Amino acid sequence: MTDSLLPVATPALAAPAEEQNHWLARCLAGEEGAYLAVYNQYAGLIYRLCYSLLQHQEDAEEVLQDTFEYTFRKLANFDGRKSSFKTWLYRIAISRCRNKRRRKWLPTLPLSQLLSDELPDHETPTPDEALALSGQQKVVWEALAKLSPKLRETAVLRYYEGLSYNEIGDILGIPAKTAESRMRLAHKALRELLVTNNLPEKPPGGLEPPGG
Amino acid sequence: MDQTHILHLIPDYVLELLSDDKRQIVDGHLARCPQCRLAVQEERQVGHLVRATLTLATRPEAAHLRRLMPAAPTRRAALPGAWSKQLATACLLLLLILGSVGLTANDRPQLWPGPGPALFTSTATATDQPTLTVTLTAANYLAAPTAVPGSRPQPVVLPHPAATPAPATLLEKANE
Repeated sequence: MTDSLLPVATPALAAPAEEQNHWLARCLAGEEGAYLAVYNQYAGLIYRLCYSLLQHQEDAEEVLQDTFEYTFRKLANFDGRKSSFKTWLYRIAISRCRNKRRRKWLPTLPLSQLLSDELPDHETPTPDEALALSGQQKVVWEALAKLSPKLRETAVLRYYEGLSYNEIGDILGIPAKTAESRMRLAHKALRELLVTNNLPEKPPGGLEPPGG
Repeated sequence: MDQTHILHLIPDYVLELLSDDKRQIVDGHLARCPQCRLAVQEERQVGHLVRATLTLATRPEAAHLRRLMPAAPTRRAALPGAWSKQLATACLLLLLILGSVGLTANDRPQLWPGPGPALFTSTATATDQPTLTVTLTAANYLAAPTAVPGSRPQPVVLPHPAATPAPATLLEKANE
């Protein structure tokens, strides 16, 4: 595999349905290269989604692996008539993120850590790239961490992935109207958290100031 | 519509939750109200900030992602054709053998429908003398030439060794 095969996936890189079905069929035929192509297509998307929801890099990596392991194993169960492959993949990933969060509710310690009296830091996780984040972005990251998991899921899918409310509802297994309500609440909460921290102070530079 | 009336619509306008008619009203108002346009831009800032932050904070490293790929599932290898046939033949033969054994066993006359496995049964009796009761099994009865079909076997009752008189005592009695 070459580096060119692995784009840093963004939401815009979703494959057309026909091409996607072609790769999935090759996967089902047992072609190892096809699995690689599907992974390359969606790994970046799923990683970003998991990292945004869990806000913890190692957890996101673990869920990414788990998601694709399950997806590859259950690929024959995917029904393109019910949903798109991307929606199916998102659903699997979000379900695993929820499981991960639930397990973290009951913190477990490795024996070695217990014996060495080195307790892990359970504070709000900060991304490794936090050093690269501006003060403004750190505030946003922390504001997202303060949202409830349900609101965070909706906000990430809407703001970051740019999905419609129907798509969000389909992925989260809720009616579109519920997705809309959650988005209102998430937006309001984020706005209040950001205003408390004097954000947003002004529109970004790219936007034109209001004309007279 | 004055500015007061549109401000409460701005969040839904930004989130694209307004109906078409309300959206047209807001668009018309924004065209002539700079303050509301500013309010809309500020409202949109929330989404812009979230998107910019997540884009930067969750940026994956291509090489790292590649290392995280799970192995493609291996397809379970089917048994070679010759092996499958031999296995099927062996299973069939085994079934036939088991079936014939079962039929043979069922053909044997069942003289005693009661429980068979016990060879010896020790029973407690109400007599003063302890006794040892030996019950013959169904197999023994099948071999016995005197067995009458359908009759229930009578247990053979032997005196318990402890109750048997000593040989010396018997000799003395004979002498008398």
